[in-house]
Amino acid sequence: MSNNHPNLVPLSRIAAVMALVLLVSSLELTAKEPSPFKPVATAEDAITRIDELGGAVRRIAANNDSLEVDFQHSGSSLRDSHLQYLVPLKNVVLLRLKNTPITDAGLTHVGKVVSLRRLHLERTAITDAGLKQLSSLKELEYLNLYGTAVTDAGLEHLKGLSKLKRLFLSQTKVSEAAIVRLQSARPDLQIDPDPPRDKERAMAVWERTKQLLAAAESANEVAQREAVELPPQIDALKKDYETAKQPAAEAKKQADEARKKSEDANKRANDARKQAEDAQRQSQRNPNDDGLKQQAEEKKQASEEAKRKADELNQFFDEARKTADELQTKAETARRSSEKANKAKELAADALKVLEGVQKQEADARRRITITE
Amino acid sequence: MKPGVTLPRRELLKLSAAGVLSGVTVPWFESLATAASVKRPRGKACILLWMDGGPSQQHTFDPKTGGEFKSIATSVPGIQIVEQLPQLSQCMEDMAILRSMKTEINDHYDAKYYLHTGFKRTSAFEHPAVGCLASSQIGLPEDDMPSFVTIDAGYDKVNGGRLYRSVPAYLGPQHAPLAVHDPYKGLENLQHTGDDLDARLELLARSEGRFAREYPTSAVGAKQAAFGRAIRLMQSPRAKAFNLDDEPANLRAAYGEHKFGQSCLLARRLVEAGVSFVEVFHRGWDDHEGAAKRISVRAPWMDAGMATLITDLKQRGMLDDTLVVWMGEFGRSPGDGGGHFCNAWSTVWAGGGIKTGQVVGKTSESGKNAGSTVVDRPISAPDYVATLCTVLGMNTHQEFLGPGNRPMPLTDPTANVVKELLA
Repeated sequence: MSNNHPNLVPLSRIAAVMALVLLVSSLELTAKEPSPFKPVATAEDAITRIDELGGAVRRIAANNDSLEVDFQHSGSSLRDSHLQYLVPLKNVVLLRLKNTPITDAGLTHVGKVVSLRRLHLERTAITDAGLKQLSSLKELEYLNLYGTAVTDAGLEHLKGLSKLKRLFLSQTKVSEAAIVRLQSARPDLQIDPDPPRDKERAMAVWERTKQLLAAAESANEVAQREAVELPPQIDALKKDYETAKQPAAEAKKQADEARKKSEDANKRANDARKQAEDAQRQSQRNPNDDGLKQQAEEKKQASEEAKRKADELNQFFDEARKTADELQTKAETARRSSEKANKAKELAADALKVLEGVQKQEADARRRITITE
Repeated sequence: MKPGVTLPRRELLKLSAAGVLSGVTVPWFESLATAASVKRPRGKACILLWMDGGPSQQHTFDPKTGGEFKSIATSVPGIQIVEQLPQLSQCMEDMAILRSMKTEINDHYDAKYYLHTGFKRTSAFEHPAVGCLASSQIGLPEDDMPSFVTIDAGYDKVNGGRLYRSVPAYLGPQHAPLAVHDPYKGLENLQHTGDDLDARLELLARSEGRFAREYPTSAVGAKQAAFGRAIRLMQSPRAKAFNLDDEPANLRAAYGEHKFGQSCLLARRLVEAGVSFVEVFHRGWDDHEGAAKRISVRAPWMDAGMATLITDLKQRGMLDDTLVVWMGEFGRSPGDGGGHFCNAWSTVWAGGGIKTGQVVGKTSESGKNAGSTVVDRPISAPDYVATLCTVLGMNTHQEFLGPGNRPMPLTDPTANVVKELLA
């Protein structure tokens, strides 16, 4: 459209486009019938016609001259005869006709685009008869027939397409047996759906959801039971906790004191040991000094005494710590029980929510089994 | 390829083969366009599943031995995820788990900004969000459908701080997202009232045209463009993509009767209708009281929504052209998942022609604090955004004119693309 007004500044062009859009859209209401096919001389003309029909001609990639012709959003305007516009185009490898009004008659023209590697025919009115026209497409690697009326008989026409790698047949009249047959004849061909594999998956999902359901059910059972049993015990459990808390705190205090005492004693024993060692060394340096010898002996005895005392206190601390830990664990368990009782209703509601989700998950998985069977 | 055109960053081209079947295509350089009527490559579409608040990796896709959740085998031997996600465990060959995200920021809003833009937040100006980049680089221009749509999938509880809203910044307001506030309702305001719409629009066009001539600023033009697109959408038959009622009941049920699953379904419909980027966000993953209890409740609907999205896209032959990414702004602290944790967390990628059925990166396995560090292949926020843009077919070295005519690269030039993902 913009080519018609090369002299306008871009902004007015937008306004012009808007006005044209309005014009075109009101025209569409009166003129529903699309323009008929007119022979074209050049590829450029063909592209212009395709554009007018709401289609698009694109490069498939930046570093590739091959073309894609895309009619999938062209609405109801495309007619079988319009597919003759493809003929003058060189190297069309991708054609999208998804959801267009084309029929088997249009596929006679498509059959002439022998460069095609990927063809989208999903949700069109084509049938087995149309597939016959595609047997000339020897380069075809991808064929999408999703949501068409093709049947087992139609697959016969695809046998000569030796390069075909992907085939989409969901929502068609093709039977499971025919897919399995084709798959075993062409192991390199990837076919969607893949009924045996789909069943296998559905079974795997169902098995898993059954396990999840069993786990959620037992967790919920426990939670619901506790929601009934625990709340009446809230006061008692709280009292248990309060009673357990005090001795635990006292024991901790005692253990702390014992730790301090044992640390002091260890320090003293350590000092005494060092003094004894010093005295020993001095005495060894002066072997004739009896005074030093005696001093060393006294220090050694003092050190041994300090060590004994420290060991005693260490042992006492160990016992105090053990007692404190035990009481602490007891208090902690009581605290948790008390908290659990307080939260029992909330936890039960959560468990029920999880269960409901998993129930849905399992029912859904079960439904899939029956669908794929 | 035209001779004489020097391509920047040749190594990028070597990374990926342009495949018709799938595969990550190389970015497009405008200078290569020969015939004006041949359009640029389409690139891939993206559905970003944003778990706002920061989901726990150890309660989802990076379980640890002795962790709160049990891990199970997946459909890919050697890869395990938590048992709460059985459907996703069977989609593993279509997913890649990036377990080594290491992204520096532990604050909600700054992390959301960082992971949405690839740049740290500054007070000077804003950077465009990745959805807006997709709109400007791979969106269908002049199309009935918007290029970027966000869908609010609701919340468990309001936590996780302020929600990040995607901003196009210097790309122009025409790349702002169209927001759907409730997947069940679609675009409530799309229905026009009265039968004189054409007359009213004509009047508006006339008066706005005059204003635009007198005040030719980019803001005026962009506003008109955005408005024009809204009108187009209003009158397009493709707008019915916003309505979930057309979907068969059993498929709707498979996606899960939860806003998240229905948002995933809506995202698929929108991508099918030509939208390039859809961000679905669900709030309430900031599980400070521990992740186990909350994720036990969320797992069933997350599993159903995300797994059905992947399988539905696959059945329709859309998965190669559509990248699905699951993530939040960071992960949770190892163990109970009580704290924010940006040091070692996971994102999950599916489809998009990337190499799936693999785990990229690794967090520490043993020790008292298993999972507290990345032991293999750290992935930064800029690495992540550059990889996302590359996979979608954008030229990450494209430059834009930022505020003050400052040239702004599409992604941080120091970013390293996660090559393990490129098929």
